[in-house]
Amino acid sequence: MSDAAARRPAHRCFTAAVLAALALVGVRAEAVENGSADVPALLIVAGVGGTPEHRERFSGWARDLCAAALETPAPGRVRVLVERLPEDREPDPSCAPVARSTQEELAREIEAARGPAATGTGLVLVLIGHGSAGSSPRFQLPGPDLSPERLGEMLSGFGSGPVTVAHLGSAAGAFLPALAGPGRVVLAATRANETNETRFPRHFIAALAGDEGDRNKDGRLSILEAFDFARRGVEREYEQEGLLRTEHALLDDNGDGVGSLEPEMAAGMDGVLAGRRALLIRTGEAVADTSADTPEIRRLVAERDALAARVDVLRETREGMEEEAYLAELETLLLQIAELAERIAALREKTP
Amino acid sequence: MRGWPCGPTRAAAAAAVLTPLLVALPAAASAPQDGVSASNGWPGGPETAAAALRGGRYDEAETAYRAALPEPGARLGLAETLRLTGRYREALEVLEPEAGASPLPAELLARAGIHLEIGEGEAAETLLRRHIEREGPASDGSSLEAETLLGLLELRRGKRPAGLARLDAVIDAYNTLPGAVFRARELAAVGQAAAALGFQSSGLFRDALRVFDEAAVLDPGDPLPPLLAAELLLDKFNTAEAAESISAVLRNNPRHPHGLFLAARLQDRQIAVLAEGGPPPDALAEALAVNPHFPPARALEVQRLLEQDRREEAEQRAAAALDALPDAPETLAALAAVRLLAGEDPGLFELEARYLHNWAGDPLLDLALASAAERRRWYQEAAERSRAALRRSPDSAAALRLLGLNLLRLGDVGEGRQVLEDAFQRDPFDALVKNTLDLLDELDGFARISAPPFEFVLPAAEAEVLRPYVEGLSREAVDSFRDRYGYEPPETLRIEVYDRSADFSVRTVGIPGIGAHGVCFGNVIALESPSARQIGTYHWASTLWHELAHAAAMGLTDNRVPRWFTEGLSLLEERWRFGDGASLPFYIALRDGQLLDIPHLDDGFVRPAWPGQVAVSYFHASLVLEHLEREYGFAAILEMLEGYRQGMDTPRVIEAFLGITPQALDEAVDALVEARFGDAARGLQDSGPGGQGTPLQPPPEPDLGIEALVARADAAPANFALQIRAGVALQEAGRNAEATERLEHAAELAPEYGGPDGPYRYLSRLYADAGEPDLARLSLHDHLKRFPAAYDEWLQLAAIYSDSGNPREAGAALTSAIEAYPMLPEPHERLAEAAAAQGLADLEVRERQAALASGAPDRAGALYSLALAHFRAGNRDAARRRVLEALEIAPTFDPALRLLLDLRREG
Repeated sequence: MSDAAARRPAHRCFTAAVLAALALVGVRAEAVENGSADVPALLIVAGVGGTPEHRERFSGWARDLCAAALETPAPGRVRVLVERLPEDREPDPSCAPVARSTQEELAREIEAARGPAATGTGLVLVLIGHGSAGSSPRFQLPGPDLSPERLGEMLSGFGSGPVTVAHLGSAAGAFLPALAGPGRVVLAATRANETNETRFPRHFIAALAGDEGDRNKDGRLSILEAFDFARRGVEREYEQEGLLRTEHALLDDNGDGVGSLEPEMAAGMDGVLAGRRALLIRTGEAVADTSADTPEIRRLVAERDALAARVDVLRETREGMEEEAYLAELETLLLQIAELAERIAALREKTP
Repeated sequence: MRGWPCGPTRAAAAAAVLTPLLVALPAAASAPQDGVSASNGWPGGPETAAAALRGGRYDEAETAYRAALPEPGARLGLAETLRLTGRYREALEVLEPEAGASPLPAELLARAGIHLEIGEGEAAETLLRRHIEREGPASDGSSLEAETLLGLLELRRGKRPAGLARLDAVIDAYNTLPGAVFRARELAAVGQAAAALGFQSSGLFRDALRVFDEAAVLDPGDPLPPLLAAELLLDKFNTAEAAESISAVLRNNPRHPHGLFLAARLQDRQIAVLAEGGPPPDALAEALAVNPHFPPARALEVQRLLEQDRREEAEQRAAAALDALPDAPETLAALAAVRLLAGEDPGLFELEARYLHNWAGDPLLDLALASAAERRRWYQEAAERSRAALRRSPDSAAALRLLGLNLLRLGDVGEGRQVLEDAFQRDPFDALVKNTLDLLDELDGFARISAPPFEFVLPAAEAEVLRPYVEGLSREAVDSFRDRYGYEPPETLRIEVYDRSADFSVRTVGIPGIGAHGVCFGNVIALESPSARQIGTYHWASTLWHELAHAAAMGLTDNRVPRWFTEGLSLLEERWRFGDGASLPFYIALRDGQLLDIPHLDDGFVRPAWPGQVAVSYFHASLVLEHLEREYGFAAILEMLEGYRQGMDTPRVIEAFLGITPQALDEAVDALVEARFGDAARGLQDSGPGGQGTPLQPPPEPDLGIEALVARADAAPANFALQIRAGVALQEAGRNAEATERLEHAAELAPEYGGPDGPYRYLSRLYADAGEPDLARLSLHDHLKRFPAAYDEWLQLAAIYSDSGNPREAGAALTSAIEAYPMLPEPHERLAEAAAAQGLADLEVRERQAALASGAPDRAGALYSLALAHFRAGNRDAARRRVLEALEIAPTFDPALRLLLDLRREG
């Protein structure tokens, strides 16, 4: 999809809504089957700062992002690359940079994430730093800067496997066309021609570090939820300061290489894959959901998720319903979910 | 006849209806006047005299022309020189033909023009008719200037059909005469005719400008075409282009009285920026220095005096002007405005009758009265006078504009809008009308909330957040003013809140760019939404309080309270309720002796002489009112308000109710100001360059570096601004002990300084770092008392109280944060928590609702919290509804599911 997505009619047709909602049924089921092992490896790359202040800021963000990921109950593999390795010992050794963020090290880490030592569940690559626009866009790294094409080559080994690239720097949109493809979610903090320093990373990190980004409170932070949280945070900040917004985040996951400003989980739109793909699992309950400790709990969780999916379907059909009828139907479904949730909790308490 | 185009739309005005005319005339003749051949027998030649005249060297021109008399060209040139310098009778004598001689057509025109300028319409009409009889009518392509002047005169004298037909004929002549070649003055006349008929087809306004431009190209030295263009553009509030035309005139002749007069009008708009060669600082004084009798300039002078409430002086000037030129309609109208504002009805009636005898079709007097009433905020009177102007001249777009805008100020949006739509139909180029109609279109999308006696008009997207606070504060203010003033609000008090500064500005003055935040029209208040400004720079609640205090003062005086008094009172009320401090410009003005005396305090508001004078005048006026309340009691203020209601002016009010002279009051206020601010103001003197800046308003000088700054502060120990700057620099350098000492010293020097960068703000941080939490908290209080818009500092204070287990004080600080900026969820969420901790269920619900409406990023979480608050407050239905909404977003959200079960089990 393109920027023009913003100009789409606000009311989508009923069929598309229902199709999208039905797709969500699959999402929940898929999550259960995959178990906790679906948390991807996280590779965080802080590029060249240009000034000591920026260098510190970028490596600080990388550290914060790493810490947020490691604080979750089921962290995946997390690796951090920075412009310069610190001379002092890191306060949190688990987030200590493993190498400088040169092209060579980046390629090596990407390869390692794909290799047998890694979980094989995919990769989330986060680029923090300065990007440049123009006919040869780059992400600035120590040594040769990184072009979209070169990064595409590095990632090619994943094929259509689950890869997410989050370019949080300026002019990030220029990387979309080269990186988009099947199985790929590509998130850019700005359009290709927006070259001001970005505010997006702070909000993106906040989405990972707090509970507020998990919009549907299912304990899993999807890439779409993190993107939406950060996007809205940036919008609000510019609005409050009365400034003209100089960054418009984009997300592409339908492989066409054209990012959407407001992706959503609707058939044919950017956002479906990003909505399914977990970036982090935030709560113990969500881990349990995916590990399904006993057959009975597993059955109840599946039943609960199926009902939740029906809520999604119902919500999408709301416009055609009388308000009270809608609420009554919604309440009926939710009460069933509530009762199931209560039973699940009770069973879990009993389970050693 | 020409065919009129379809009615114009707002988006695009109609196409031009005049036939474009390509003319190829030789370059403008150097003759002093069109149509008069030059003679070579003059000393210095006619070119020299004409150049002197057109360059504003009137003495030189007069000498040259007199020397060349009785040459016809010299007579005309001399008469023009005398006219421009205000010697109208002499000018007419010069043009009086010798006995038995027949006057030249140009002389007839010139005499008619002089009679017109001084209001002798009948004499002008006779001369113009003679000209047309001799030279032939416009239909022959002749007498275009005379026909135009006569047509305009007929319109003004109430002979509407004849006037319209004559102006039509002029345009027809321009359009239809094949091969005609027009002179510059003829083109200018065609332009005037087109402008006068513009109400019939808006394309004619554009045609008028085009023809004025053509005339200017033909004769670049003639000031008439750009003057006419400038007047037309000023009437349309197109100040930028008007400024260009005026500058063009003044570049050639910096002493042209009409050009200077228009420059003065432009200055009155306050937003105009003249191009290179702009007007002198006081263009009106310059105009009157050149031509002391120029009627429009004299009228403007009277108008300005009235704006400053200098009624006696205004009357004297108007009377003197009328003594000199008894028939000048502008001065008649100006004196009538004096009489209106003085409530002298018999005198007003006499003047109206005198005016109408000559100018039965000219709305000028009614418009002047309407404008005078409008400036005094007598909107009802302004609307009535505008209606009178429309009865006189039904197509007057200016009258429609005045009527429409004043109806809106009275709260009659329905009729006001209809009238403005009519005005737009007649003149789609009027920027005020266009902007206001656009604004009204936007207002259609605003939320309207009736909560008697209030009607709130709020931006739809913000209504849910703003409503409880705007309504709560409005009620609190009205209750307070009812107690203090005995004020009873009207049946409907309309409060409009704008989320865009430009919209608020249009509502206030019709154009974007006003610097204010709020305005009170009496029963209608408009103010900027907190979202219209940056956080920490604007305090919406104090603005609303301020405007509601105006509503009280205006209501109690039938809108007769002078500007300085009501502003002082409003700011005083604002200070009592929210706090405020003195600004750096106030100290500087005091140091420089720029504070005005009380009889002239209005000047600081209506005619500021330097940037920042308005803000300084606000604070100064509030000190006057503070002095009155402290020394004479609030009852004296109430008596003074009553005096104003009865029509008394400030000196009389002071003498009648305080028993002292204005001078004595001035001295007492000066003593108060001196005692509280004098030392600090003088301390700014020994600062050297750059000594007047503060950390957030640094002077325009290179960064000094910390040691140089400290040295400079050492050398000027009484300069509080330097002490603050040095203190902040030291704090940034980590030299906290030195910083603390400096900033404490600054606070002692200027304890009432209240900028965003006041010393207490920094001291609070320093005390906190030094492990002195109580001092830190007290300093925050001190800062916020002087600068209540400091949103972040209110949150800090709330955190201090929360951390120390004092939810009540935390709640008060959070409430204050919301009074500074309510559009973010954080203070609402925290206040809700504080309310929950105190068991204040209703408050918790309100704040949870506000948190949700202000865009809490975790919407499902915010809905759940609101549902829980409703549950605790016993609002079961609302709780159910909100928890369903939360679960609609997050169907597996456990706490919400539990609440839903609880609700079902308990229900």
